[in-house]
Amino acid sequence: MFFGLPLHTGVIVGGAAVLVIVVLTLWGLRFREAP
Amino acid sequence: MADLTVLAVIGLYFIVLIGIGSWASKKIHTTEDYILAGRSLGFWVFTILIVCSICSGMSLLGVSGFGYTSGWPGIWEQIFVPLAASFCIIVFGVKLHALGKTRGYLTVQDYLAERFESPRTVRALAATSGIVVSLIYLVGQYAAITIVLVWLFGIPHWQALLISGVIITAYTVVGGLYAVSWAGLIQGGILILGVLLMAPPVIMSAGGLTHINTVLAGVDPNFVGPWFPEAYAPYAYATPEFLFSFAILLMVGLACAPHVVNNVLAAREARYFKWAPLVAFLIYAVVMLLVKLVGFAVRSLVEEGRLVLPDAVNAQDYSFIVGVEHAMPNVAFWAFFAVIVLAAVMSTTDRLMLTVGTSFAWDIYKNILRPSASDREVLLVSKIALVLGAGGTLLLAINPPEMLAWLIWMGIGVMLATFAVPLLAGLYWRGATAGGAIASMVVGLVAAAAFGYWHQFVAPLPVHFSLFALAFSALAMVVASRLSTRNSEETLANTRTGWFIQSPGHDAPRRH
Repeated sequence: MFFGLPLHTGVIVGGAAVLVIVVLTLWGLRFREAP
Repeated sequence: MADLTVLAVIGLYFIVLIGIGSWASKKIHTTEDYILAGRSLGFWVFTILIVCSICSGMSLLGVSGFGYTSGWPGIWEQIFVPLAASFCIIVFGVKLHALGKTRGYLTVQDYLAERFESPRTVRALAATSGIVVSLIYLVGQYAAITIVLVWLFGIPHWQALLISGVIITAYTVVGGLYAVSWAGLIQGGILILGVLLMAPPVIMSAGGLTHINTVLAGVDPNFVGPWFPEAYAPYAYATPEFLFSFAILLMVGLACAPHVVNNVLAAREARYFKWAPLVAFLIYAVVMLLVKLVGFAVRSLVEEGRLVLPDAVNAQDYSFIVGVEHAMPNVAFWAFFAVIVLAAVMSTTDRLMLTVGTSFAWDIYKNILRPSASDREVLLVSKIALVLGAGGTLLLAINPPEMLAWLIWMGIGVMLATFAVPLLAGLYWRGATAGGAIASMVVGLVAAAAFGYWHQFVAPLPVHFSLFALAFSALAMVVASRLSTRNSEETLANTRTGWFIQSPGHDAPRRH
């Protein structure tokens, strides 16, 4: 249980949010301004 | 509910907005200043402008309302909608911003006209559909403002509309995008601070998150699931297949909406595109998550008999208002709350109005009807079109069409079905032609109307209707492009068309 939520709900929703944050962070790290 | 404190706080907020409009009006010398704030927006003004253009009155009233009726399966909205800001900045923004600077685009229609070598037809189609969709959306925004003002002050519907309409029109018409973006920064700040301050007390007053989830699970076990396994009740429509179409609709459809995508042309520097996607997502997602949790909290309070929603057709949309009133009866909080909701609604409304005015003046009047028009004349036409658009939608909102909610959803669906394919194919596929762009817009529009009608009046569809329309639009793009002559290599090179976000050779690693 995760704040009264079933574990699978917490994992799926939380995992999706973390995935988005990781992808956007990677974008930020790799982006190079065109000359 | 009206009280001197509330009136004073709202009055002060309005004075600040008018002040911004007056300051901004002094910075406007050319059409570019008016439409794009002279391409001068800094990182925070630009990032918050994108968030504020997407974050509307629906974000506060609708998000908590959806949380109230559908529980956790509706939480995906809090990932998909903020992702629209990131998608817009990355997929459309990087390339359009670079092109806008070198080619001098003032609107996305400028880009479409050059890319598809169609200065009249593609431009006119894109501008007209953009204006119509923005107008529909505007009526919905005014309806949301009215709910708040009528609830707060108990004043007649038309007075509420007139007050808000006049204030927004005033600062937008004199200050253009300078006023809209700086007002957005203030409105965004108020919204973020307000939700961070007000949501936690509502959640605590309902007994905390664990207790709220336990109550929700008692109403329907699927309220605490990640989605509804099937559509067994009117509220249980967030099934996996629907959520897929919802993701495309919100992420891509909102990102390519004219009042959102045009903002990427106004950023001052290309380096903002590095972190703006993450920053916009985080700010928006945290704020909206809290609003959604308020929806859950109010449902829990109502189920336990501690709170009653007003007797209205759209009672769930009052969740946020009723929740805050329950947790914080203090009138000072209440005044601040009024400003928060107004800020959320007004920040989208002003951007929509500006989009209507500038699309008409620049794309239709200057580029199609009267190419010889001077800069001064275009500015004047832009302001007149803005005022007429605002007035017309205000009149419609006084007596809103019965199918308003349906019309707004149609509006977002039509945006997705008509703009997404020409824009994406134009930027990333060298084979896309003017024939393809026209076919995809027309087929997308017709398909959106047909599937939207079918879903509403004939039989419900398992996914959002716009997904079918998008598929037809993409098919039309491919078939018509294959059957028509390719654009010249020169145009494709000038518009940096191809399967890359930054032009090859331009994105060699370079440290700053």
